[in-house]
Amino acid sequence: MSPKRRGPVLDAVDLEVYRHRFAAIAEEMGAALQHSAFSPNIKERRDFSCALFDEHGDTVAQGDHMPVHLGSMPDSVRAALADCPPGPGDMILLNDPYRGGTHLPDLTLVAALWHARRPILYVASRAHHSDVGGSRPGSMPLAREIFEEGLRLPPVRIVQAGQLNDDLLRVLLANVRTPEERRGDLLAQVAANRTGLKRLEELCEKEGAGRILMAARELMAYSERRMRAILRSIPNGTYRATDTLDPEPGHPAPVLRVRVRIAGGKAGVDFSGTHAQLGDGRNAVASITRSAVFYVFRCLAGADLPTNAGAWRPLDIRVPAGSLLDARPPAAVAAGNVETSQRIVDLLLRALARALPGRIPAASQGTMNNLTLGGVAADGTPFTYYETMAGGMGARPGADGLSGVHTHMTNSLNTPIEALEHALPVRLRRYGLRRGSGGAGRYRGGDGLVREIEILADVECTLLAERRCTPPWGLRGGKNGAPGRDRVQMGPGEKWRTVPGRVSLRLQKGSVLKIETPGGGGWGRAQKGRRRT
Amino acid sequence: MQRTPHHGRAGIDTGGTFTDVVIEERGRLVCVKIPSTSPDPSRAVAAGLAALGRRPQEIVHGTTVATNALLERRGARTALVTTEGFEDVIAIGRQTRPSLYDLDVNRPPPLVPARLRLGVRERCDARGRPIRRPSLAELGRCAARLKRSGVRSVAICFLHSYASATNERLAARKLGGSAPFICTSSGILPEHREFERFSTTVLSAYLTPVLHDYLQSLGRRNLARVLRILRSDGTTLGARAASREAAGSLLSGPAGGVIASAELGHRLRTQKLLTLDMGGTSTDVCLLDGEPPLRRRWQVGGWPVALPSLAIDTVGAGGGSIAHVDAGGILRVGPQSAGADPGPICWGRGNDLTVTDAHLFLGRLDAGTFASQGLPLYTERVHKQLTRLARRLHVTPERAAEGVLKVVEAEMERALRRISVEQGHDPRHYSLVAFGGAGGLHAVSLARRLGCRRVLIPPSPGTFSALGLLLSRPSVERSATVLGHVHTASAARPIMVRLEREARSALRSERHRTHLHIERHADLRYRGQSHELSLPFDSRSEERFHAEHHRRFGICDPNHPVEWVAVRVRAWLSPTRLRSLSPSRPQREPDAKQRRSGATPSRLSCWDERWRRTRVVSRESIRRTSTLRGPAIILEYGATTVLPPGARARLGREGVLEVKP
Repeated sequence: MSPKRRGPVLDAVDLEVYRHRFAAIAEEMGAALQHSAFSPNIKERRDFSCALFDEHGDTVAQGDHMPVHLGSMPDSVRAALADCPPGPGDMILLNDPYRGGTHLPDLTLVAALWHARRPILYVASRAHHSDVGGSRPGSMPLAREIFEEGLRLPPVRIVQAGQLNDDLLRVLLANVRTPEERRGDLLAQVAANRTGLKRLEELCEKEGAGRILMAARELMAYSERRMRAILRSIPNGTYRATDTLDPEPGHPAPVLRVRVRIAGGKAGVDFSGTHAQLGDGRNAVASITRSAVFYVFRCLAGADLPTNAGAWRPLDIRVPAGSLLDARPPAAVAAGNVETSQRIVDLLLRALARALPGRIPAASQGTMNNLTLGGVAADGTPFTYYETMAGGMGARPGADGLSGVHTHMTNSLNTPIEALEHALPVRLRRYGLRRGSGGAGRYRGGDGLVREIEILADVECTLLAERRCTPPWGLRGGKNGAPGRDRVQMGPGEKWRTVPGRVSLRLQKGSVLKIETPGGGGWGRAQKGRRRT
Repeated sequence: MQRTPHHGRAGIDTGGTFTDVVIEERGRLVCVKIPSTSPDPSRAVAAGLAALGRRPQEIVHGTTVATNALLERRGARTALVTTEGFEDVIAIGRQTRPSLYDLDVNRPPPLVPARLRLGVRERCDARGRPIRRPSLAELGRCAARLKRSGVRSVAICFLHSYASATNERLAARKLGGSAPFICTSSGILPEHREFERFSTTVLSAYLTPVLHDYLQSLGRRNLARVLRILRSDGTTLGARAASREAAGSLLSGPAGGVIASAELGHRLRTQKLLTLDMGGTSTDVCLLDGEPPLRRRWQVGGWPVALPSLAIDTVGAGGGSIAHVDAGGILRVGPQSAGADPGPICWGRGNDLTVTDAHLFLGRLDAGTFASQGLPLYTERVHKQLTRLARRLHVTPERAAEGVLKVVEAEMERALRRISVEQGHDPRHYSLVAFGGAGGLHAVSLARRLGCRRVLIPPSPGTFSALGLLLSRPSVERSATVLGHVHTASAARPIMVRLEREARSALRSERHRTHLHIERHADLRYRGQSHELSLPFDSRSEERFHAEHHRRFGICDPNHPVEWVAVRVRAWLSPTRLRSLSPSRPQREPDAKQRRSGATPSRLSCWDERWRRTRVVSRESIRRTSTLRGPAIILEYGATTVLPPGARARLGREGVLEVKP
């Protein structure tokens, strides 16, 4: 009566077990990375992703880490396979956005599981390093070209047959501001990949490689079936939306445009009409644009859909080459990953709100409010710091938006104030909700945050943020959320000065930086005297 | 009764529906199960002891008082006093959303509303050096505001208080008169990361008055010489110490069953167990691989608790869960429970149809089960209500009753999957241990859904958790943060000696019983990391650290400097050994004799909408050599086990009923 082990056929129970096993391995890789990492951005904020891939580089499972990496991790693996295929014991490092990467601070490490003298599965870990060189500490400068943004690594063999490639590592460390921390974080990624490979080896031993690969294929087919069912539940039709990024001084606001065509269990997403690539770092490479599209449809499919390549098969995504959503070298791209990706999500939601009026929320903060700081501490050690800040979530049909929360393409934690002050010469003066910043409506948009930072040593500071000019929109009569606002005080008693959302500053000891993040849009017309609590 | 001398030890487990008592006296176990009392659960505790006619030397108590108050948000009115500018830390959390791909995601509102979060101008830096002391005038104004607002409890949470508690202590002294309960974050959890520390402290402040009131009323009843409380980590603490800090006792209720299951597994030499503890109000599940698993960070009701606890998950579904038809015409069960009062319809007072009523309707419960606990059954009322439910659903009453069971089992199946499959453990390799009053009613059906090959029903499953309380061990942990001033094992040794002395003296009153064990650990990390590894403390701790780092993460770097973060000493006493895990019947049980003879041979029960003749046997009548085939109903004191058609059961070692689903 009992089910036969190692049988050739997988039943529904087997699939369910494998689905969670794959996801658990990806999650365990993430835990190994976090627990052995050195920089606050990885160990406290979990700004990383880990995933498993089949022999073609298609995603088998991805940990619930960063949505913005959904579509771009497989491109890293495919670039590694094409340029520098990993042999047994090898690990391939890359960060080139034009060769499988996203933006330069995201270093991706790829390794293969070898079985019977051929690679059958791949693991990859990607972590945001808080500095990879370039013109500014934190490697998120206001740049025209990618060469200003830091060291660019096409796929290269950093671990060869189990041995760290010291020559290559020396080149890498010579090009960054905080070499000790980079070395530690890179080794933590090695630890993550080894953890993933070890678990997969154990699984192969116990269950047989054939069964595992079959399970991976079956799970992708399952996700594809589920996604098609979801798409069939959306009314057929063509839905359009337009929005603009914040303008650069003296330039018109760059236009984002999308057309979503839903028909017969398929979705065509076309970004024709979007502005050409920009002279600043808000350009996205195509894999980021795909990630944003995947994210939106993943949300519509429900929380229990296995995250794998099958789910994306019914989506046909067209991005005009050379536009700001499919930038070409040598465009700068640092903010495409963290800023433009958020705006693509809101754009798509705006289009779909016409198809699914009872499900789609108003615009959320639409930015990640990236702050990088760098300098030399009193004891002579260099430091770099990177953080993204939460804001207001758009109101939903039926509920207020959440306040002070990361939305859509990121879910990275804050750096605890106590960890931040332990590691860096800064002191927080205030960290709270920005009351009244959410858009009014039948359901209110969530409030943004206020973070006030006192600088205790001379630093170079770069802020990359959106939604400083164009506010997050409300839906169906709901009011817009308040746009973000950034101010500095150059010394005690000095006047507060508003600075643009994308700016590089030299701040002296004693100056204070105050960042107010955008609120979410409201939903529905406010009804007098009928406010719910 | 007051004149009887104190004898033996009692394990008392208070659940939402029943209060279970197991007493061990000279190696013999006796037990009783009586309905819980609300709002004062201590009445049932006293009644249970009275029913057994015992005055124990010691009571070990498991209670859900604190957890229930949190889930129902019935904690004390609490204020937060914190560093000015950081009043919203507990509202922002870590700025994350709990699920990633979910447009309808929500977070629970903070336990302290914005107007009761007061800022004080004070500040320390990351090394604990004072930048600004709180002024006495400001603290005075703060105290007046607290008094006016009528709060019962205050959490004092200042930035960097793990490094220097001076400001928090000063504030606690000055605010002492403004509310009966004051908790400081440095007292509850002296660890860095403000949100986790603040949140754990606020939770504790919110719940401590509730636990304190309860333990006071229990203490006034003067039931035993010593009263100990089971903590979330499976160790016990004296009642007075436990009532000062509620956050450590949040899993006091369900921990007993896990300890008993671990002991059972040990005796049966079975490592891999999934536990299912289903009572009247909720169901607790845990995955064991030998020792009960501990975790340091977990969540309850959406709130992080950074204190060690057994890895137990709870779902709000039990025998008393109420079935209803929702607005969309769909059958729902729970999360509301009829509890002990009014209880299921079949007890005669309630009007809401529960899971227990569905079992009764389907013929799977026997009047004898409840009669032995002094409860007559009201079968006609159940029929009437169930027929009404069936009409609303447009199905037969049989299908409606089976539907209620299917819905509640789906919820439990999800809970079991979350801790097994979703962590990468295949439930087919695990045995399902089912206990609690209702565990045996659902165990076989759940085992089939999950693919478990074996179900284990311990002896007297209805009081198994209370038995676990007798197996728990008194324990204390003392730790010291040494970051920055200790760099070698020899420098840490004098601190270790001091901690050990403190730990020993904290357990001195218990020493007469058993052997004292001491464990010494050091928490080390590479300089620059944030997560420590805990290693046995000795002169080779650093070498062990490199090796352990390599084992866990596949890398190590013996040339990189190692930081000593904390040293800790855990002292514990061996748990009392029990000769057997089988309690004998309570003396007052009315129909024990009749049931031992197996006088009710069969009855009709319903399976897949078909009424079938079903054997009814008492557990005592099952012989070691025979196999019992389903459909059958196995009765015993305080619990019923059902074998659906196709299942087979036999009696194994330790009096355990082994079922092949």
